Amino acid sequence: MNEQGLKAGPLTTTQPAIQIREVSKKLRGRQVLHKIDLDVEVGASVGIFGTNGSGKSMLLRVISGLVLADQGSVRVLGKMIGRDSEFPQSLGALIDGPGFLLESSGLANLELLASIQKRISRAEIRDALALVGLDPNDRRPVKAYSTGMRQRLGIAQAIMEHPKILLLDEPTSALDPNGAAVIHSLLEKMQKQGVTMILVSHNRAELGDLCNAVHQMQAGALLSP
Amino acid sequence: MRLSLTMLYQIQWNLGFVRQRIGWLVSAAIWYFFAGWLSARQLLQASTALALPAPHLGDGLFATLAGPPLYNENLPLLLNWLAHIIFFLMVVGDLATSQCARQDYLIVLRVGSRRMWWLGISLTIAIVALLYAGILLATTSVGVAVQIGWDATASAFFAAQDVWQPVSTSSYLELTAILFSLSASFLIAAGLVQTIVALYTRRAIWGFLVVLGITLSAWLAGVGGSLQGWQQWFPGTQSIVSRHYPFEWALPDLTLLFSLRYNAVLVLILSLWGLLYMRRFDLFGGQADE
Repeated sequence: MNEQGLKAGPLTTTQPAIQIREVSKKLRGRQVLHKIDLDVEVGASVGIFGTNGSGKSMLLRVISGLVLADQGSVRVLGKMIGRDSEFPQSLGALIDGPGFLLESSGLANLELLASIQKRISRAEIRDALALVGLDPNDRRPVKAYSTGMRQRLGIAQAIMEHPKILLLDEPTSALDPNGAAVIHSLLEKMQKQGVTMILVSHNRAELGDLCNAVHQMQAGALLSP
Repeated sequence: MRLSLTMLYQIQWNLGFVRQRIGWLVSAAIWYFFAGWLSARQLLQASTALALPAPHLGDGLFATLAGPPLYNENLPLLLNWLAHIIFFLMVVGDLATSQCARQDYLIVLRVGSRRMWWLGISLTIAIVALLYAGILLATTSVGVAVQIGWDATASAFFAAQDVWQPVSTSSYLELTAILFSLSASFLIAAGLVQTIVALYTRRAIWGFLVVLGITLSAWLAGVGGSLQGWQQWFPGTQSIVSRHYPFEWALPDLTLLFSLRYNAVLVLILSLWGLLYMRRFDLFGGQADE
């Protein structure tokens, strides 16, 4: 593996990387998030598990700025989401099934995404693919990819621009044990690089291996570790 | 410079999604090839049977794409006009919800702005509408030409029947320009309406049904006589070339210029509406469950 692909800029702030205060969200009359408080220190890895519909994916959507909280505040790297900036800077995310261009190769998809911000080189994109166990020279279109390969591609797009914050929703749910081991190893290396992570999973044991703290979500509320 | 490049790549990404619906575009092209072929064949038969001047390329094109005239319930005219809207909605339909609202976070997070994202969607719809209208006119022309040849000059075919007389004084290129500008400008508006409704309701089908309802209302307004005075204000009428002055003398206010202005204002309002709506838009708001 190429260590270059794992580089992340160091954070100098003394604030938590992610600070969530009293965040609530209601959708179609249902309380999907209820007064969430959470601090994630710089370089820490936090795991969140819970049953379907408990609100764990919704929490990632709120942190990433894709969904706006009805009440409370979310600060990422010191900036309040929805006030100081619409979306966090330096964020990599895998939330639900990302919509890739099915007729293009994995590499072509990532190249087009990377061209929007132009932060990384073609070599770094290829490194990201290799890091998740995909062949950068694979010219097959994404529609020919298995579910597991698409998940790896999703992780590759999340990590390729060397984010300081990484949000991953069920990153290994479609992977076989070997594939999951590759991703675990990758995440551990990123932790050592100082990347702040929030991982969401149904699998508490997986989170326990990877995270400094594990929280449970239930009916939109975050329970203490 | 950086902003325009970002927009360019975003549009390129959106066009990649539209490319996944290419089957609908191919279906539309095939439909209009045969629609042109069939129209031209009917014109040729009428020309022979009634000893009329031979129809030319522009006559066939107009007869296929001009849409249903006032008081007219001719099914092929209605179907060919309606089909070009339906096929277009199918081509851009997926852009509205399944990709944009739910899975397009890959783009939004990188673009960093909901409004820029919406602007990219709007521009993509406009580009696709222009390409689509061009493809339709080209395939229809080929279908017509297979039957009656490539004579692009004006013919006296319609004038001899005392219908659509201006067609007989217009060249193929003039008719193409009129059909293209009205069709493309309306399709941009229709695509935006579909997208906005779909984003509101989180379901593409509602956007599709709303546009279909609007266009059918425009057609129905001209079938009876009571709503004729309002005809020009019904959105959708602007894509029915046959109801425009001077092709239709009963509607002197419904001119090409009026319709182009109407469509432009509609597109502007819809784009601004979308920009305002995007300010607090939840990209995954319709999905509460994991």
